[in-house]
Amino acid sequence: MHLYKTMKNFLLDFDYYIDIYEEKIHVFNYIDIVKLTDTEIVLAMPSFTLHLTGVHFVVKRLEKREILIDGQLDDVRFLR
Amino acid sequence: MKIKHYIYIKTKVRNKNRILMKLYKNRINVYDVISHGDILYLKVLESDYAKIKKQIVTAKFYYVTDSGVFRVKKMVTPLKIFALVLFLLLVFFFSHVIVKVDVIHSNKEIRELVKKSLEEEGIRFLSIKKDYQELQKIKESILSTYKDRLEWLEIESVGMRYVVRIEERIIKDYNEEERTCHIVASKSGIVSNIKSTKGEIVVHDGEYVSEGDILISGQIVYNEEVKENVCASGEVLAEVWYQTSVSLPTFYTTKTRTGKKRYNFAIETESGKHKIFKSRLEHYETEESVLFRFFDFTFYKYTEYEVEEQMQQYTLENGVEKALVLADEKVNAKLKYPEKILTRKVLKKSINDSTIEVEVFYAVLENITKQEEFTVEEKNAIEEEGS
Repeated sequence: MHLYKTMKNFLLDFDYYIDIYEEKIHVFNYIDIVKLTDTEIVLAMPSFTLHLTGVHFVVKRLEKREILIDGQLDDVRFLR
Repeated sequence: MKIKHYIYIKTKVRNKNRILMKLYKNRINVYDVISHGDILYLKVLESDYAKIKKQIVTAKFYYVTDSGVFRVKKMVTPLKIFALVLFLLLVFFFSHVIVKVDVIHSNKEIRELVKKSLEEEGIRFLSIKKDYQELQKIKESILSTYKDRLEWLEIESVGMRYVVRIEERIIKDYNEEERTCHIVASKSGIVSNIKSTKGEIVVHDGEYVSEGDILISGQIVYNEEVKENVCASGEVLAEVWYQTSVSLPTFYTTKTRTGKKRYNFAIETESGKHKIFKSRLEHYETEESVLFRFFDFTFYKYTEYEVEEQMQQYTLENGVEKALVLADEKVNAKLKYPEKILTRKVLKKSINDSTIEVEVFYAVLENITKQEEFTVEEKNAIEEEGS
């Protein structure tokens, strides 16, 4: 699925995307990690800041433009 | 396409998110994060490992293992590949190669004939097993080549051997049927039992016969006329008599076990049994047991019991007893069922310095059947002369 999304993004040139699954959050094309704790993650996106609040957050994959987080998500906020 | 080389590294941390942030700030990608208590396992590129160690000095990182193809590459050493290839070769060898061809038949000539034919067809020691079709063709070829000698042939694969069973073709010689013969006595004796399958019985139970006397006649007579001439057959048992003497040395050795024992091993091949170690006892008795067999080799375990040898001397009674046992064995060796010893009597016994002499008389029930041919013209001529 990730491969498909990467190709789609490459072809269609989206800025970013955020996938929310059962106890997993995948963010592609973030700019920076502002905060990273067990209960709160703040990511700087191209046109806003993404706040993720929850419990037991664990970063499973951390690459230059994408991050995969395990954990229970309670709240998502977009701050422009 | 170049395969990326990933490795797992570990570090001890109190705040794993801090380490992750540091890695992120240093533009080091992390592809997997596993946490066990305060040990953090990270999957990174092998090329980033040196960078991590150099740039993040607040934590110590240790290499754990490779990941993916590179891990498999490390595990598969030349020795392991060699062992695997050797294993596969051995499996092939044990399942496809023949190490022995057993031809089963009582006639040695037939066995040699079939064995030679099989070798010509490619069935021999260390040859590859044939499939069903090929075996059928070989069977048919051998049977058609020797159709006057072989009735039936079966080749069975048993483990690493071929077992070949043969049925010989027996062509009846009809000329033999035209033979004429009597059953005569091979020894003098008192007739005990007569069984006739062909011919006319001319003696009865309890009658004394001399060597050469006709017991079963090949001439079938009726009303004083010879109706038919056949080859008589049957079995005649009679009581015959033997006198045998046995000589026994006066002194003999007895062996008593001391309780000491030693172990040894032996290997048996076609050339015989050979001990592996030299025996450590001077006088001993051996008990053997088979350990295992491997192709044509048999491995034995020997238990050697130390014995003490003592010289003993027979008294006349003991000696005669022993001599009788030996005499019985000597007579019984010549007999086969239903022949047997009827009675036995000691005729003479004596003892001198070095030997015991015993003479024994035997009455034995023995088969005194003997076939003697006669020709019809010869017989007629003898009868005409008589009249």
